[in-house]
Amino acid sequence: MLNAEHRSLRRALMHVTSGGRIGLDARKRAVVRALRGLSFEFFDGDRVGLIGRNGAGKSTLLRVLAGIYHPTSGECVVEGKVASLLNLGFGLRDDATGYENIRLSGLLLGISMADIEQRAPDIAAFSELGEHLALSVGTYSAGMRTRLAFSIATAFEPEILLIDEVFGAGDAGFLHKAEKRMNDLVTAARITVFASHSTSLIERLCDKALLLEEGKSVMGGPVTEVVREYERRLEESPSLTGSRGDG
Amino acid sequence: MWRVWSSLAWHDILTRYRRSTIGPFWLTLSVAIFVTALGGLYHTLFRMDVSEYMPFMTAGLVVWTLMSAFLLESCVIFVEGDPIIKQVRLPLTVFVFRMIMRNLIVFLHNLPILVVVFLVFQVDLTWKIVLAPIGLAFLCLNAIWAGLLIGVVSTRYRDVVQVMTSLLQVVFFVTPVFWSPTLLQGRPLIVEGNVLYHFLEVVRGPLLGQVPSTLTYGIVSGVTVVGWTAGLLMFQRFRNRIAYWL
Repeated sequence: MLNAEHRSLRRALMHVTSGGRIGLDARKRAVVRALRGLSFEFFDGDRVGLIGRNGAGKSTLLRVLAGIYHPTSGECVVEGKVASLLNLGFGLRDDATGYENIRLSGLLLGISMADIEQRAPDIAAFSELGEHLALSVGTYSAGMRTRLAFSIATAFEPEILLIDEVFGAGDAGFLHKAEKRMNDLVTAARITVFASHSTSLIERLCDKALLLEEGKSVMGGPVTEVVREYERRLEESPSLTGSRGDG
Repeated sequence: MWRVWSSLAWHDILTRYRRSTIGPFWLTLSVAIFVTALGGLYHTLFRMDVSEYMPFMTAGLVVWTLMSAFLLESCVIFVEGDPIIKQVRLPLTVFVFRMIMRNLIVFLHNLPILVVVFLVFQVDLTWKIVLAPIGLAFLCLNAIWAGLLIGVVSTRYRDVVQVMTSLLQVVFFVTPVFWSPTLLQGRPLIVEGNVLYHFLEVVRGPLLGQVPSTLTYGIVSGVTVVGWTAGLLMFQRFRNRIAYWL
């Protein structure tokens, strides 16, 4: 992509480490094909997990689904209100308080002021942040930010919920609540798509899964089967370089 | 949608001054000091009567501050919106409107200086002052397409903001902001050919009781039309790339 040290990228690297995904275009600019040849359909009630190694394309796929990245080829059709929890700060403003962020994020999700005001106490309660909500979000820990962002994103009954590896290890209590809420959302005939490295989380929270490797979808199906395949591949070649030369 | 950008704009102002004492009035103060110091000295340099020079300079400065802010801040509208753009799908025009509203709020904070100067020097207000808000509307209308265009180019090429900063510094001196074009013989190209001069006049003129010339209105209208076409084309072509450029 732009600003990469593409001066040091050479064609040789392209095939060995990235299976033809990173290369130089005609104008010698670095190009990364993060996703290729993906084709799938998700329906009401699906709890989809996205698994794969680092760099497989999970975050990119979520961003495409969220409408943030426009596909460079093909099309992406999303029907329904989307709420997403993607990394890098969740769109929360560090310089604003928890309450102010609830309001701002609600507006960003397209909710009316009246609805936001009505749901604000529920959001505050679900996040369990208490008095911290009056402090600026810049003072929060990563776990607190996740709680706030999750509470906001799930408060307004999104029809599609996209979550990107946000549940770090350790916040087990909140994870339990989050799991329950995600299940509730799904029983109301909604779709959730959850990306993670943690196979245990994927198995708990999803019923279907998509295994991504180097931008391609290598398998899609019931979650236990896909997870098994993922683990099998990990055992086979723990690192990305060398053995897999499929361009 | 208007709630989104107006809340963002308000919040930008709020946080700028959250931990300060007189808050947004620091801006007012700095312009006031500039006006007093330079006004006192330059009117003799330009051989203008102080009661004529001060209102002229103040009006020019207040409008110029708005114009240059529009141009400069456009360079970073998408870059500063990075956290939001990467999280939620929003029409990118939200960021342009946010920038415009933010600067209009600042402009309103600076208007009191103008009021004070006008009172002190007993400037006559004529009906022509009604044209000033119309001029302001022209300014804002153009700020939209300029924001989109500059924003797009500047997100791709990150040094545009530096170019803009240097350019504006020079243009500030070349444009009749704190010096009157009446000091020059005739109607020289360096004044009449300067598009920013006409945008300045469209607001300043009516404030000082002068109706801007047909040429001025003509140029401003022309730029609005051409600019909107160019801006929209540019934006349509590259809007999907912006997320990738951030």
